[in-house]
Amino acid sequence: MALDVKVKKRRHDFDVDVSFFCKGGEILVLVGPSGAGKTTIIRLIAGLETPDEGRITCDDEIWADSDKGIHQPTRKRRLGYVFQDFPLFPHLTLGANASFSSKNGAEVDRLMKRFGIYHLRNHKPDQVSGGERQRCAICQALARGPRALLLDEPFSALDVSTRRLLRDDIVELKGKLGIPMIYVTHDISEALAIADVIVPIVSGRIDRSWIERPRNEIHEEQVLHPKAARKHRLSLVY
Amino acid sequence: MDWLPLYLSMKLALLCTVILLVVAAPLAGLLAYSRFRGKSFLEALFNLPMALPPTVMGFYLLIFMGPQGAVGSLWEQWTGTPLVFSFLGIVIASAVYSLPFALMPMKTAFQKIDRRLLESAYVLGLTPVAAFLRVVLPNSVNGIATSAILVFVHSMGAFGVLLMVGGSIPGETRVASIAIYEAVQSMDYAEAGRMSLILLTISYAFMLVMNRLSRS
Repeated sequence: MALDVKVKKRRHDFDVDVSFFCKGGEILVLVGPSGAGKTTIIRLIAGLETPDEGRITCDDEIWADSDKGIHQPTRKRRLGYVFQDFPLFPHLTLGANASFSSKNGAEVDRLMKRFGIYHLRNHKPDQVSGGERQRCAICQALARGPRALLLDEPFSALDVSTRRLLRDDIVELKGKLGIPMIYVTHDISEALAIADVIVPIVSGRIDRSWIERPRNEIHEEQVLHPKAARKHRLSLVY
Repeated sequence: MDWLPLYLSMKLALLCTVILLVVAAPLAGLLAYSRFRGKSFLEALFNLPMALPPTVMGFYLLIFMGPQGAVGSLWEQWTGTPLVFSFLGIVIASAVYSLPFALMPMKTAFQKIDRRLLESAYVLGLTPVAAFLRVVLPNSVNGIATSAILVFVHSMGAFGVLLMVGGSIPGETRVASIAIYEAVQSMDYAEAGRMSLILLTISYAFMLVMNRLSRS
């Protein structure tokens, strides 16, 4: 599976104009400052917004094509989307949330056990911690067997240690799932820790100096050392 | 005391509440989430009963629902019975009259729902209608309950509209508010007082419940 994205979208402050490709089993991280247009891009992929121009395909299935007037509704794209601040359905238990779109109860139970929230399946979202809610959001996204997984700053509201644990979970999942995963963050160290491909976004466009640089070519030390950071034009990202 | 008018009032209010909850929920959803040409005109039309004097409202309903009216003549052709001066007639009149009281709290409740919950439902494969039923309605229980209470209480207290459309036929259209008016007209203050006290108690109890709901 692979996700091919080429979109343009006019915004009131700037135009979003990006194109990138994410292979199955790969984590592509959109990194950039707040308000750079990262969430707009991910919403375009999800079909929650319509591109003014461009084409989005998942394998041989066209999700959006402005030339052909195709805009497949979000519900038909069968993707997983983990939102920034865990909007689980407040009237449902964690178990009901996780199985919201899945008829495979055994798979949901397996996922909940895998993410350590099975014992909380009868709790409502307001009775558990932020980390547990976000684990449930990941289970919910994975339970329907998505063709692509979109994660929009999924762990930004969590404490450092929980964030690290969940990040490791995501990295572990990518090989098992074999689907394209697009991860949005403003945190460059998080991007470095998780990415196979980093796509820096600045004012709606890709900062070409960084595009598709393999992870092993970008070391965290480079970020921490100002000289290296300058070399890689990190100031643009921060 | 004559309990029949009170029974009729309760039956009328209950029927109106059920009908309006079913009718107003999708309308409120449409007004809360859709953008279309003429939306503000439609919304103003739905809210018109709140601004119109009940007798004016009643007059127009009488014309529409009467034997010469668009709705009334169709009804009469179909059933052979008139719509006005019947219990069904006052149910329809009361429902139209109470529509804004059902619409407004529901629309406000629907608008308060986090937009991302709806988006999350779409991502998880739901159609807009399914998302409305499975996400919006269960998370708007307080707003729906407020609508139900307002409609019930408003229907219990309706007078002018019902008198215009239904008159005062004992056991058919002579509801408590009309019975109280007639009791006062015939100087039977004791009967009017008893019925008024019961209506007052019911209305006050419902207002208390509504206050609790708005606080939670």
